[in-house]
Amino acid sequence: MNNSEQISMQERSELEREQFIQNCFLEFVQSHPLTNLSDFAESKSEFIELLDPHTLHRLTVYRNGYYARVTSVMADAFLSRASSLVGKEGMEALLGHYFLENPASTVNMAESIHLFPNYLRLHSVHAEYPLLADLVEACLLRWKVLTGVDPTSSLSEFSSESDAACIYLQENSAFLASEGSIFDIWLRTECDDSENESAHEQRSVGSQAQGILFVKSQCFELQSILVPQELAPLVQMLSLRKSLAESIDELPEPALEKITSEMLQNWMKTAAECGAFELRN
Amino acid sequence: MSRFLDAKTCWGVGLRPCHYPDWHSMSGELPFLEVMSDNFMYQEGGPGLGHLHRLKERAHFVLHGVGLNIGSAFELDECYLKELVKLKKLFSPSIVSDHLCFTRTPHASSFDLLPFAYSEFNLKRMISRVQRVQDALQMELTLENLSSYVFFRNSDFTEFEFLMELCRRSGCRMLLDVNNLYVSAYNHGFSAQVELKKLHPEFVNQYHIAGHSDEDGFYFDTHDKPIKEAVWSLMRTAFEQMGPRPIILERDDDASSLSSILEEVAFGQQLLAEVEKNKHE
Repeated sequence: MNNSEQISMQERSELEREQFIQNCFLEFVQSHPLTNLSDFAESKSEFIELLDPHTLHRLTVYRNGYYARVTSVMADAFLSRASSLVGKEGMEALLGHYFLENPASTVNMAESIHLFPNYLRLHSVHAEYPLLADLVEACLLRWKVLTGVDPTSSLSEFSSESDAACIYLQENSAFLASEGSIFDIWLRTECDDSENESAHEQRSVGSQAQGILFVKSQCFELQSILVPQELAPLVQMLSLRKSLAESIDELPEPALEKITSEMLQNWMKTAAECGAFELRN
Repeated sequence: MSRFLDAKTCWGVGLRPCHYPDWHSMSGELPFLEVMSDNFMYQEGGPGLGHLHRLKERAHFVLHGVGLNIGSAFELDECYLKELVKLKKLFSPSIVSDHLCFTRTPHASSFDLLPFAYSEFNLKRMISRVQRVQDALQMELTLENLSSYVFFRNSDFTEFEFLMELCRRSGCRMLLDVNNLYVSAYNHGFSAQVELKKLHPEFVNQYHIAGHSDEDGFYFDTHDKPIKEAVWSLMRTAFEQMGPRPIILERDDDASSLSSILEEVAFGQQLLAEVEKNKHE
């Protein structure tokens, strides 16, 4: 073995040691808040011995900081509307449990809760608050649309003469279908963001199951549009980047039969005014 | 945008969403505004970027991040770096900074600034990494000293010695956070004044100042309190030793009005004007 290979092996060994240290540090940071430091120290003595004993006990400062960020900051920054349904403390507790089972691994905070809606659907809280998971999902979709590409143009008016083959949903849009009155709850919950936000209801159609379509009409303008139960399958098709004509063509007969011409015209008119559509040739 | 720096014009504050309306309503040239890079990365549009575009003509931006993970013992996150470069190109900041720390491993994220050992091995490792970042940014990278709560015994340098050596050997610069220095000095029992003397003025290109909390037996960097007298005193010493650089006053609680933050800035301007006056007498 020559000299350079020896150096390289030594460096590799030092790097592996450094990786071990960082893995241990993160393991403690993400450990259960009630895990005793001395219990952890026993199983990771090689890591613990590297720390100045006078400062060792302050490892918990980092763990407390982690749980504060993933609960309090997350509840405030991304889930303020959903928090108003179960209270901020309730949301923080749910987030705390979620992160114990799904430790954060991404650099982007919003991304680290993308599994949270499904987690809630399987949680006991779902029985008491069946729409909480949908509301959380709506908050995440809202954020995704808000920070997505700003629209450059949109279809401003819709009439029966408009060419349905050229009408598409704005690419930066998101649709959430719910089995409950999600839009009504969305309207009732508070959003303390400083951005402009409008909700658009189509009162002539009333039904229990609802959907929400999120779309950005301008850089600063987020629109939340009610999608009545009858139109949900059609909007679902549109959200798959199909044209209006294709979506209608591909809609199963039973779903199509529930949509009246007037219902569709009215909804399309409202959605077009909100900048939900773009024309493509 | 370059700017003549003296005790008055070197001041700026961290840009926070709750203060957007205040900044927009102010007339004329704005002070240094420090943009938290991570809050605008992974975004294609939307209100956050919209506000920055509106402010950039009148403000002097510096970019400050928390997620570069420069001290990681694992691969550099090239995707993060790409996003940072994109942001830098959009807003042409005069300084791009992050922290001398690690934040995550490939499988776990702390959303925090974690210290590592200031060892010869880690120094060597970081030199090439800093150079990779600087090549991508096409400008020097600036790294900030931490508020830390634990210390690694296998360190060969103090944090400031490590940073100066890194600056000398990689061409990066240092962001001196005087509050972090004060907090760490207290927590680890070293002299802030002695460490300050180790800094080479040519390597320091920005300052931070902030408030901290007095916890049970240690100081905690919270950015939610007025700056303590001892920290002002340290700022004064740094200013005497190194002269004016952009100074960002960090305040992260949404409860503080911009006017109260600017009052504290005015106090700092006056304090440093005295230093300048004494220098010239």
